[in-house]
Amino acid sequence: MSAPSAALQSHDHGAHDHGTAHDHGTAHEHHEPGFFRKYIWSHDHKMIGKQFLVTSLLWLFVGGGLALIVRWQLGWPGEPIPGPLGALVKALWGTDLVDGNLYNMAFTMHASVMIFFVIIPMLVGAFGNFCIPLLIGARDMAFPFLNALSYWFMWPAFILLTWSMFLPGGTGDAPAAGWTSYPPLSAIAGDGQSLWSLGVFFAGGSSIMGAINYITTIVTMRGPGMKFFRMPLTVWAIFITSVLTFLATPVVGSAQILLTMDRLFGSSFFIPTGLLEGNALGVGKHTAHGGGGSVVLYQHLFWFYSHPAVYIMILPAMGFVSDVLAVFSRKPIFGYRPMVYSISGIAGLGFIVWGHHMFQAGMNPALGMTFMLSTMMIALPSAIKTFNWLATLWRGSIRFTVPMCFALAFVSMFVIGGLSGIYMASTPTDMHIHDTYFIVAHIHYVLFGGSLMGAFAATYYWFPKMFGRHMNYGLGYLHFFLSLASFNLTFWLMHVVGLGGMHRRTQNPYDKYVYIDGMLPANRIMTIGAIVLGFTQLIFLFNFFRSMYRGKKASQNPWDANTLEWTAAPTPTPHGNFGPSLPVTHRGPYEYSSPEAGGRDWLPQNEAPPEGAPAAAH
Amino acid sequence: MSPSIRTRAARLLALPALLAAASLLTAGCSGDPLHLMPEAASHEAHQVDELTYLIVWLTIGTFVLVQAVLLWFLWAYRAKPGVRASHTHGNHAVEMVWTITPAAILVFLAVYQMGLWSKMKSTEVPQGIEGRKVPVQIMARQFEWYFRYPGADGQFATADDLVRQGDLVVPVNAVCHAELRSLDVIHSFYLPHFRFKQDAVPGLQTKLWFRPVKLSADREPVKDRLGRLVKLDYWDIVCAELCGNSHTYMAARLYVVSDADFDRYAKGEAIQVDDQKGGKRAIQLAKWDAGAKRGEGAFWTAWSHQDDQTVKGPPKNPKHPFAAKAGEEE
Ligand code: HEM
Ligand SMILES: [Cu+2]
Ligand SMILES: [Cu+2]
Repeated sequence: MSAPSAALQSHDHGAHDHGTAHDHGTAHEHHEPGFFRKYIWSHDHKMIGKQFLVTSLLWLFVGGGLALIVRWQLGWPGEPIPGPLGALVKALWGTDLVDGNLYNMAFTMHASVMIFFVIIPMLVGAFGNFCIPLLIGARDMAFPFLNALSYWFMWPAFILLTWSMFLPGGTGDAPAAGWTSYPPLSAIAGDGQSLWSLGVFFAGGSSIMGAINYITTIVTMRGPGMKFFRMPLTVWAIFITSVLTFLATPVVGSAQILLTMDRLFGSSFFIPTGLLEGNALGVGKHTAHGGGGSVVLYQHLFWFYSHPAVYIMILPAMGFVSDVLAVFSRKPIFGYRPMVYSISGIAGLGFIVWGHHMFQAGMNPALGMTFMLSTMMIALPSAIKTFNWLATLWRGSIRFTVPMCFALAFVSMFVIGGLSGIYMASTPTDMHIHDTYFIVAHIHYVLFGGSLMGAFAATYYWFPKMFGRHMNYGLGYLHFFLSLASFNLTFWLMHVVGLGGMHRRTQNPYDKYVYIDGMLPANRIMTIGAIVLGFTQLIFLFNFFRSMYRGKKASQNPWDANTLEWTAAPTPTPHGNFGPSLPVTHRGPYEYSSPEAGGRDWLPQNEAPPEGAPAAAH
Repeated sequence: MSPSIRTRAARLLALPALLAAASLLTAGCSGDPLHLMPEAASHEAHQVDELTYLIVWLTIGTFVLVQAVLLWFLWAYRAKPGVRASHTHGNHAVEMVWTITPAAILVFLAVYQMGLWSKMKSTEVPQGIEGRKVPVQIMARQFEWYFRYPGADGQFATADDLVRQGDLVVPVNAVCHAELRSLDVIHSFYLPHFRFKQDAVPGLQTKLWFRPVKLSADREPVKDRLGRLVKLDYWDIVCAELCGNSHTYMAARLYVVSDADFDRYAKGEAIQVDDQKGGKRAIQLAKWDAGAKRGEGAFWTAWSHQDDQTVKGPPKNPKHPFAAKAGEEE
């Protein structure tokens, strides 16, 4: 069945043929929850997904503004920030000149916001929530209450991190030790750092709750016939991501607790003996209590989480992109099982490569060598996935829709980020480029060119399901072309200045280093790129909110897709997702252009094979 | 899968292999043909550059190949009326090829670079590295670099030590054997022209070595922001790890001088270097205990304190509840 039947539309809330933990109290037919229960304290996975999506989209602009502070200073060092951004910065912090404190706060908060408030909540929180039950044929998450809690646990984090920038000491008290917040610098920093640690703790708590929910839901609540190897790769990716989150996040939480104890209660987990007492230059407010701690221990704990975390930030996007590529090439994904295995391979190896962030940190060089080996090996599953994506396009019938364009951009940009990883995996070359702009280029090719492009693809793709309307595709193409162009304008040159020896996290490198002074023109170009890139995202924001109310009405299955959210769940999707009975899955998610399908080039997962036909192999 | 597909795939995958071979050849000729890195000033820097170029050719090759295939597919397989996509779920043979080829390249790279890494990061000067051995202690603090020489007795932490902030002087072709420490937060000792970096981690005494092969006075002019060539007579020392709000200003200069100049310098005599304003600037080591006289008490005490720990063993912290009362021992 390709369009929802009439029976689907008149579904009955009360009927639950599957013992879901679907929390609807004593549901009556057509009972609408009040505003508060519907939009604020909702237990519906779709609404929680939308909450995550909208909040992370708004934070994207906070993070972007902070980045522009950084870029402005690097392009026009010492000059006041112009325009509305300058006015805003002046209103908030009393100056539009970017001094060391403002600069360090800006890049620290930029990265923290983008990682903890944008990429993770968007990929995992928004699309994980929205997609999982719909794609596996479940009525909701296993623990709807926990799910709502996982969203609302983000709010203390939002408040704490925002607050940390507006303490009485201004930018001097704000978190400014980088998103990595290495002690002892973070141990002697102003009070903002404590708020930061607590905020990260809450964000981590939110992630863990989400992960427990996703794992349980996927393991126990797949609809009838939805075998593991019939799940769309989006679900696989989020499943494995959740395992990573669940195992790794507690470690960073612990590190933040220990750090906070060092700061506030006089312990010294991370502070060795024999440091300069107090702070001769009056930079920090806290005094480090010396005594037997280890600086490197923090780094181990931090990266034990944060390396898996970088995969938490890309695997879901890989899933979305796989689905989008298959739909718009009208072809099965090439090598479905190898794709699953390579996601698992990335996840497994992801746990034993954290030391590659510490090659220069005084770790035994022999240990560095083993981390180098495992890091080299983790590039392999990424390569396999790339080749499989390419092969999916091969002999396809490619439709260049907006989500497809973003998915293709993902593939193309991710290749660059993956290849630059090899420079850093190679320990002797890493010695030169560690902590330079080369790393910044790498990060942004994988996280912006990769994850965010993937999130855009997913947004354009699932928007019709979320809101029953299409986004405006004229604006979508504009958003795509401008983003791709200005993204590369901004970040490509970072490889060059990085290899040239321009170090990162530095407010005015031109002043002391003549060889970096020569890179100022390149930095201006990057800044211009960043400004264009920032404005381009406003097009997206406008398109998003306008389309929610004004967009063209979407049909039930606008992309001719196979997966259950399009073929079995009506749009708009009611609480409980499916009609009186759950859809039965008969085959894998990618049977496009199958000879079995007759005249159509798609074959819904829940369409029963004709009488007497042999059971599908996939 | 039809034979034509298989040959096409084989042709595709033969390319990376060819590239690998080609890059091995190009890596043989040293230098920096694309001017990617700052001027190289040590033997090891040249070796790192070779490795970098091997990776550059490999990754650029892969990059071009993958993007070209992507664009080709996008063009060739765009939706056309009446043309249906083919229905295939994968192919084991091809997938094996594109698993094994990159795996082989990656393993090769991993093994190929191990020697250079263990040589450059060796805490002792590796065997076979000849040259005059120059011991130095490097102390980092917010936001300065201090360089200490052992003085006539060849021993550190003695009264005849000599120290200077901001300038490190070593003789050309010598092996500088340094010990790196920090007194407050993490810093990173980065010599871009030597492709060398090592974090200064509080609580650790990290041994490192480097070997300058080019006089810093012979440094090639570098371009400033306006494209003007500027002549410098030092190699840059950069703090590469965020260390606070003036991290960006934590620079120092490495002067690589002749043996004769170094000998004079190490005895405490002044040597002349460019002041970058058309004149000269004298740099000279100070007596180790002069710091206290200049009123840099806390800093000097902390440094001596660290010395005591490394020389005399068990750590002491005057603030520690179990520590002996200050002054009881000294
Ligand atoms: C293809 C495989 C990859 C390899 C071999 C690789 C390798 C590395 C290495 C060795 C570093 C440390 C560099 C240094 O600090 O000196 C690094 C940093 C980083 N990588 Fe990757 N990477 C890969 C893919 C990814 C992906 C997929 C992501 C995220 C989506 C990612 C995100 C990051 C981030 C955020 C950092 C910098 C963290 C920081 O210092 O702030 N990488 N990568
Ligand atoms: Cu990593
Ligand atoms: Cu620094």
